[in-house]
Amino acid sequence: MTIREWIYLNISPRIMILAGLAAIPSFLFQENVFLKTAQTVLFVLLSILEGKRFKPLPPLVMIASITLINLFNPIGRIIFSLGRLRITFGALYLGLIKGLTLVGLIYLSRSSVRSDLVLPGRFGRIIGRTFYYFDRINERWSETKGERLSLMNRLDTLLLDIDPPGGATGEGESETTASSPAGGSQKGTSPAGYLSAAGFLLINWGLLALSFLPAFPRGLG
Amino acid sequence: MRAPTDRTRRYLELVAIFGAFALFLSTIEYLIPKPLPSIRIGLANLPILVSLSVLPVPYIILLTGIKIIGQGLINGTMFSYIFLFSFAGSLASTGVMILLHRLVRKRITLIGISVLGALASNAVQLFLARLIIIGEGALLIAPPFLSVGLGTSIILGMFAVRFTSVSRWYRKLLDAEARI
Repeated sequence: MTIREWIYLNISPRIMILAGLAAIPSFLFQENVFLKTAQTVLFVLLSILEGKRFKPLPPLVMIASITLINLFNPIGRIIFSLGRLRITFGALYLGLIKGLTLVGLIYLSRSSVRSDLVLPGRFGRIIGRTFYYFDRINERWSETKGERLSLMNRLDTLLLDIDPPGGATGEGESETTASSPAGGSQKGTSPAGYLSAAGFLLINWGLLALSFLPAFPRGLG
Repeated sequence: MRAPTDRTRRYLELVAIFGAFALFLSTIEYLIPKPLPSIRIGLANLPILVSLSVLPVPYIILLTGIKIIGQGLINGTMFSYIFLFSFAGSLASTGVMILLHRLVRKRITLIGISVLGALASNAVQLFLARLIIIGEGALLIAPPFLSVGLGTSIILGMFAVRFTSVSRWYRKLLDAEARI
């Protein structure tokens, strides 16, 4: 069994999202760059373990570009100068913190929000129905790969195929009450799953607690 | 004639199909390599553009909400600033597109609606970027950001015009709308 399969079997999407939400403050209030980097790496690792795609370049470019743009607004002690540009400690710190926050939150979302999450109420049902059609579109898209159709025709054929009788085009009897596959995929959480979620929170809040120790001062220290 | 409940159900079904179409296009967009992560083509706006003539306003807003939440779930950006940017940009864009379509639809094509919608979205996102992430530096990224938005929205608008004129599925939707 892969780690991804274990996570899907033992932790329900609701517990995943709750753990993610509970971890957000520990990440947002983290003011030590190194500890914040550790949390970001943890979120990235988790999303990789869950089988999510990971390309290292986009997050690195994102952090670098945000840091670079922040450097144009000098704050505090000058570290060195590049021509007329003064690289300051405060601007570098703020840029890194903002970049890490942006990237970390993306990967925290990726690791804690699953597509089989069922949202409550009428709106949740529509979301479920949307994911049902999304699955059908993906399925039909793969099937039409061999057919010699233009992109426009391919999309049109696909929409004609997935639209049920009595659905949006209003032909035939309605099948719109059919249940979405997403509706039946909600699973419970095992004791090991609860323990893992608690461990995840403990690590994150522990890293925030560390930032209050003199060894990990606010900033780049 | 269909009962109002059937009509509502039909619109909801259409919202789900357009929503799924938007999610599919945003997945395709995610796979397209871009020079900078913040640059987006906005493919997922195509279903909203196409829906302007076949859905009442509340359902178009519902579709926008589904697009935003669905994208957050699929791309996993729900807790991030990107979700906030997507939320604000999409609402601004949809609002402008609905207004233009309802007020001056005879004097504007889907290309014009697409361009003005994209500019509204980009303006709101730049404002948020200035406010939250990069401060005054937002002015530095504004020219390339707006230029890309302009270019992609023109292409998207042209695609929407072509799609609404040749699509058999869209024709069926219009026929069904005329019947009720």
